[in-house]
Amino acid sequence: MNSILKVTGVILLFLTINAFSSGKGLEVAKKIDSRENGFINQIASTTMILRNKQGQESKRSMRIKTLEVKGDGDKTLTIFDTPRDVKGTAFLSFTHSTTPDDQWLYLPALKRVKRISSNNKSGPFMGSEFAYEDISSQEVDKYTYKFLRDEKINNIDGVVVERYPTYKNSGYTKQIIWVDSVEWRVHKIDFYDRKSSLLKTLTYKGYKKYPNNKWRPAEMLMENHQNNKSTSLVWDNYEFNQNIKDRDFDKNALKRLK
Amino acid sequence: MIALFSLFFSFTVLANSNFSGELAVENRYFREEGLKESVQNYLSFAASVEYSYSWDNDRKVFSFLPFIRQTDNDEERNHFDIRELSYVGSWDSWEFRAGISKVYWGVVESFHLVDIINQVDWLENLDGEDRLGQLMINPTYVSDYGNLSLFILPHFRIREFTAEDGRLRLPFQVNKTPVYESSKEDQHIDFAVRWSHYIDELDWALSFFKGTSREPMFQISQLGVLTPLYFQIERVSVEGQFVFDETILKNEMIFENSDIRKDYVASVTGLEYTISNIGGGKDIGLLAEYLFDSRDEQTTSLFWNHLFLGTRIAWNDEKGTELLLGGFVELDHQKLTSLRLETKRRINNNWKWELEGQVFINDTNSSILSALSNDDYIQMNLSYYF
Repeated sequence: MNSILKVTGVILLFLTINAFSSGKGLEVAKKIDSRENGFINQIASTTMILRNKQGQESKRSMRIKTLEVKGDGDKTLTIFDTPRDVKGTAFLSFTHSTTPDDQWLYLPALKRVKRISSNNKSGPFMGSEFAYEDISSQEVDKYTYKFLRDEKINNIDGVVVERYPTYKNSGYTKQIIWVDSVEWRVHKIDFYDRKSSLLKTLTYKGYKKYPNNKWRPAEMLMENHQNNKSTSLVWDNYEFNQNIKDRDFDKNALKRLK
Repeated sequence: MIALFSLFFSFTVLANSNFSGELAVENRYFREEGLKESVQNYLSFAASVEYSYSWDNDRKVFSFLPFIRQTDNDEERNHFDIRELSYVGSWDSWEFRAGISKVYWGVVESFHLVDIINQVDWLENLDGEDRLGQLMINPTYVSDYGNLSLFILPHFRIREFTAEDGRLRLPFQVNKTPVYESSKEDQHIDFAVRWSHYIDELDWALSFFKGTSREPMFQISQLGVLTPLYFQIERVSVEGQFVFDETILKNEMIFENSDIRKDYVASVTGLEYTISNIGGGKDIGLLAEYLFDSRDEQTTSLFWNHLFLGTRIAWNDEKGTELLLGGFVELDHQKLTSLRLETKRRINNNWKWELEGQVFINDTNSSILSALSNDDYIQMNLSYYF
């Protein structure tokens, strides 16, 4: 009897979550995800421009290789070129939708591959306004969704959806995303901190369609409303379906990187 | 060489030639006069320059990295070393590395216990993080059951010690010509094999090394001169690391036997707990590691029943500010034996400063530590990276 009650409880809980997360909000997330699928792999160079309150800038440049993994989160390899003291430092991340991500850091001076805890999701990435969770691959299961309204974004028909992180240690209670309903591209995200006040806004600029029919932004601007700092992630060059495969994302491969 | 490079070019379009390096000025100030030498301030200059050439999506890499240090008051610390002159290539499940290179083994933070392939560059620092380039042939098989690596090490490098007028040195003069147990001396071919793997949050490695001990024993002559003796050892080592939310559990262990020295077991076991994203994005790591050596006070490593306690603070700011503070407590007598501080901060895209301080507390139970007790120092580094 007791166990039947427990099972019923679990089913009820499951139904509640499902009801909350189903409907138009989840449909939007699935549409964004299905447009993303099938890029196979991607190599890009990016420049991160950090601006402080006074508007002073400092720059970081890196190369990012991404491998699409069917049925799980992507594998990402980030190699730093500047600032010069961290040149050759590399960050390898295997994203998972429900279990914690696997992450390693390669320190070139020591030639050390160091396993790191992926627990620190909310901390700043390289001193920027992007948190680790903002740059890691976005999976449908990482959030539950609530449809808010239809709204035009940049003069294109679109929708506004609220989403709530399901993973542990997020720095956010909710995010509001603006998506166009023509190509299902994310245009803007508002991030709300643990106290539910508006913390940051991420704006995607200069979307361009690549030969494999994938849309990519030329710039991602993250503005922090609480400390008045901002960071631009400027993408120089996207290349898809390159000759890179699973073995190139092995932790052993980190030691070859320059 | 140029012909070789153009050959590489003709093979591929996606090639990448890289030139980078570091020029550093270092000033070490000792709090007291030395055992023999009264000089307290040592200014030195170091340069390391790396040229690398990668192709086939970073699967094939050639690299060359020479290093040099020049000092004003300690000639013996002047040295030149080829840290890297190697080729590495990867073909699906196989990787092959040949030439002079460096290999890092280990997971703990306070001490480099299992890290044995490269000889320690003691002229650079006593922390064991600087290593001499090692000639090697190193094939690796990468599979879904982990990585299996073989190391063939044809040429042994001796450990260099600072001279009488240098600091951070042993209380005796060290003979420049060591003796060897093996009749092949420094031409003895050492080898090692290593299996490393991970499943979810657990990473581990199992290694076996057979060859010349990187750490010498000393024979003392009547004139008070130490002659290093490099002998043959067999060593099995185990490393493991488990990530559990904000805690990482770590363990390194070695079992070593030889004909010359008593067999022994040593281990470093500990944890790192990180409080992340507090006070505007800071990470505060708390470290506790227990160091054990079955040789007790006869150990040559400084640690036999010691506890390391430390903290690492990363500001995660635009300047990459970091601070590391740690100390060792000898548990037999519950006595603090040494303290170390390291802090660094970027100035801009190319410049960075680092500050390092080290205090040795006189310990009659350890001859090495008592020899270093006058050698507390503070060191400032200014580096230009290009």
